[in-house]
Amino acid sequence: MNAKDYNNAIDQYADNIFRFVLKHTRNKMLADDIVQETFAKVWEKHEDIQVEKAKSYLFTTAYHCLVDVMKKEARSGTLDGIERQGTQSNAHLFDVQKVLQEALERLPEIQKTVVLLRDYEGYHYDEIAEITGLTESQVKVYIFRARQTLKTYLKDIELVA
Amino acid sequence: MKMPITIENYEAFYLDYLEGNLSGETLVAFEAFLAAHPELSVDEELVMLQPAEESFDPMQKLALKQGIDMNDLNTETIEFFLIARQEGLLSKEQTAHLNHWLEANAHYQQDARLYALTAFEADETVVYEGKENLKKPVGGRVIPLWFTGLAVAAGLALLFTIGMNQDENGTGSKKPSQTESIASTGRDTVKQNDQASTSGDRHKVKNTNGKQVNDNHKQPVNDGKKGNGSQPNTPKRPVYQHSILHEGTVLASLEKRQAKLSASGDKTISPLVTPKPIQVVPEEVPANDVALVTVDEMKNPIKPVTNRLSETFNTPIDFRTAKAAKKKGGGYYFKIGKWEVTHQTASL
Repeated sequence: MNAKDYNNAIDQYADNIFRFVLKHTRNKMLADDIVQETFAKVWEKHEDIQVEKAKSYLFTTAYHCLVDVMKKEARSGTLDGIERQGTQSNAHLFDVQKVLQEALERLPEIQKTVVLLRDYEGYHYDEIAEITGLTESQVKVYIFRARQTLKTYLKDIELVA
Repeated sequence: MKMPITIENYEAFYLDYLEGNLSGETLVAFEAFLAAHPELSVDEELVMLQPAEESFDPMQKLALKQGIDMNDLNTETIEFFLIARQEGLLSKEQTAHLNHWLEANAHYQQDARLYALTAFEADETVVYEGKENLKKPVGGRVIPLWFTGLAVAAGLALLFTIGMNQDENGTGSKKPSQTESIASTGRDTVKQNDQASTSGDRHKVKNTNGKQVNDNHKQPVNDGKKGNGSQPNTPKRPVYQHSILHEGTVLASLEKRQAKLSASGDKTISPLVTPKPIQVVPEEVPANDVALVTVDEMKNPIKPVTNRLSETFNTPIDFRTAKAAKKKGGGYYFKIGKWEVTHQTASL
């Protein structure tokens, strides 16, 4: 991957990575940092990366950065409470996407990751497995569990509403 | 049931009851016994200790399977198939089979509808704003910052070395008296290149006669004699490198000085510049050959580096150079912020 390919990758994938990371961190500054770190790491290796693998490499790197950051932030408690409160009060509005976002927040991080990679980027199970370091079966099971949890959450809200 | 349950033997039945090992008839009899003896009712906490069912989640079991068998479809596994449809894992035939099954089991229609809502859509309005800052220059090699810093240091060292060499090899050496008389300021530097006075000027000592001599050549200094045989191998006469702008001024100054000396007849005062080189200069170096190169005419061979450094340090940094040609002088120009260095050499 040369400089031109690298710049094209920024145009094509920076937004996607940013959205993916932002969904996890719920913190724009953290998401900015992770995107920067991701591309910086990829640039270090750009000569060894094939163009067709660039997206996968970027998301893999972003995921690893994300995991590192989330661990650090979890230890320091920085992420707790950031834009995560008030879910119950808004739930009555029953805006599907809004409720779905709330449900997403309740998923374990790994389930959230695989679902977002699946829905946002349309990755296949094997590609998600490559990015996250899971097996294909694990990815499938996590996605199925996540969908079940999301459905249950939607159902509960619907009943309340 | 062969043995009746009494207050004496109920404990054995109690354990079997908690472990779920009582058969139908015995279970009914034991529950009737408990109803007759409420003080012996089963402790709720003990009931909680009953081992949970260890059957594997049927949905997870199916998810681990390779391929999807529609024969597995039933009320326990319906969620797996609903998610599989949402995930796009079902073929047309399998989807039709599922739809037919849902028509027959309308109770699950709500779940089917809710699963269809569990797909996330990316918010395209959320964008990363720092894309341009991440991009790299295309069309050239990206030079690391440490390398550019090193390049500048090396450049400065090179310039310094060139300057030192010029002083030491004689091409740029000047007699103090000559330098003082014709030195100019700014970029238009006029230099006198005296091959005959190679490198000895810094080490003047007095000889036994009290005359100031060059310690390298033992040649009396300012004795008014030229070509006295002490330098038989230095026949070259001084060659002036001077700016056209200053040419008239310098010549006029020298002629004035010469006239003054002639008028006074004082042989003890040595001229700042001997008349002889002045006569030589026009003959050896035509006027149109001594044109010095201007900074604008110089070219920057490391423009990407200097541009990058200027951006990095937010300070104008420039380096230009020009080789001396037949009709044009050479030189170099170096600038960091307000600090500038210019060096110009004569044409070939």
